[in-house]
Amino acid sequence: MTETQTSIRIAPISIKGRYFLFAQNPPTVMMVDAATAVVAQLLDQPQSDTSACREKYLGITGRRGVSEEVAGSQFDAAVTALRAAGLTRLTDITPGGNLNPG
Amino acid sequence: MLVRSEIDSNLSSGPFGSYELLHEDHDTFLEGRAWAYHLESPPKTALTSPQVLARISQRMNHDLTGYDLPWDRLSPMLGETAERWTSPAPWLDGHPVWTITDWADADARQLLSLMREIFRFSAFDGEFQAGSVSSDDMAKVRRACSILQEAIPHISANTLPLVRLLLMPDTMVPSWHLMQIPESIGIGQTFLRQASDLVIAESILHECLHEKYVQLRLVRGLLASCYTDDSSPGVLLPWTLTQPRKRIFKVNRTLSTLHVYAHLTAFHAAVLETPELVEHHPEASARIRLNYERGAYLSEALSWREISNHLGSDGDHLHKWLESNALAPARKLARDREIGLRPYPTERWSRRELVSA
Repeated sequence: MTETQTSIRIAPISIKGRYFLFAQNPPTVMMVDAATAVVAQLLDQPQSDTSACREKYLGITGRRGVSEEVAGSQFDAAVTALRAAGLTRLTDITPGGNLNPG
Repeated sequence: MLVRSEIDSNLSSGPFGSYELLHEDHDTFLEGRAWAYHLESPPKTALTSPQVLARISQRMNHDLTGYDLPWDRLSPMLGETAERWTSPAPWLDGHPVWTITDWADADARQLLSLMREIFRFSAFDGEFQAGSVSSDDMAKVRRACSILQEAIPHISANTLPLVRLLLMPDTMVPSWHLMQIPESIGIGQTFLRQASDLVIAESILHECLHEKYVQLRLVRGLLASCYTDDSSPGVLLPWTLTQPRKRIFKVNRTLSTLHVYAHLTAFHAAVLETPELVEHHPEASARIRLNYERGAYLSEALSWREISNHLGSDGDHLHKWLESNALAPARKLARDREIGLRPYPTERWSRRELVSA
C-alpha cells in the first residue's frame, strides 16, 4: 500500500488497472481506475493546486502517448469522482494551496 | 466428464471465482478501511478459534456495507475466551473452521442472543435455542463436505474457506448466512438431522456463496456507483406467490440470489456427472430443475434494461460469467441426459407485474 505525505492511501486490486483509494479526511473507501489513482496522488501533494496538477497529469500521460484531449477528460472525470466521494480538500484547491471555501 | 471439469475449473478462477484473489483484495480492503476510519484492523491470520472470533467480531463492528443495525454488537474481546466453547468443525482439508460446542458459556450466549435478535428483526418468531451438537451431526456435515469435494473440488476449495465459523443451534430455521455476523453460517439442528446428505451439501455451499458475494460486493464494482436499495427497482420472485410471503428483490439481492442459484445448478450438474455419487443422482435431478428454473429466471430479469441499468461493470460481467459458466453448461448437460430444464414460467405475468419501480 502506498501512503503519501498527507492522508490518502492507494492499494492495487487484483484486477488490472483498478485500485482502492482510502482517505481519513473524510473517511473514504472507494474503487478507482488508474487515472483517478494518479490524479489523487498528484492532488495530494503539498502545495498542489488543481490546475498545476492538471498540467502535471497531461505531462505524464503525454509522455505515454495519450492525447491531451483524452488526458484532459480523464483528469476531469477523476476530479469529479473524487469530489463526489467528498474529497473536496483534494479537488477544490486554489493556487497557493488554500482550501476553496466555495 | 467434460461439463463437470469445465464447470469446476471456470467457476473457481478469475476475479469472481478465485479464493486467492478475493481473499487478498478483501484483506487489503479491510486493512485500508480500518486505517481510514481509525479502527483496529481485523487479524489477517485467523487459524485458531480466538483469532477467528476476534476477526468476526471486528469485521462485524466495522463493516460499513449498509447492513448496520442498531443492536448491541459483539464484544471485540469475545475471541479471548473462544477456546473454552469451540471445537474444530468438519470442513475442507487444511482449512480451519470452528463450531460452538458449549453454548452455556457466557460469551457463547452473547453470540446466541445476538443471532436471536437478528432473527427477531427479520420477523422470525420461532424457537432459537442452544441445543447440543452430536457426533452424528458432525459426521453428517463431514459427509456433506465430502460430496462437495467429490463433485466440485475446485469450487469448494475456492468458496468454503471464506467461512470460518459454522453454527448449529437448535432451531427450525433450515440454514442461514447473516450479513451482520460475517464469515459465519448456520444450519439448524432440525434440518441437519432430517435432510439428506446431498441437501445439506447444497445448503453449506448455498450459505458459503452468500459470504462470497458479500466479499465480492466490497471489492468489485458490482453495482452502479449511485446504487442504493431505496432507489433500486424490485424483481418479483413469482414462485413466492404461493408461499406465505411474496418476495420482491432489489437489484443487489437479485444478483446475489442468481450467484447462489447458478452455482447450485452447476453443483447438481457436477453431481450428475460423478459416478461415485450415483446414489445421489435421483435427488440431484430434482434439485437441478428447481435451482435452474429460479436461476434462469433471475438471469433473464437481470438482462432487462430497467434492471441491468443498476449494475456496475463488474456486476454485468458477473451476470454474464454465471450465465456462460454455470447455466449454459447445465443446459448442455441436461440436453445430453434428457433432463428437462427451463426457466420458471412467467408467461402469465407482464413485465410491469414482474418489475416494480
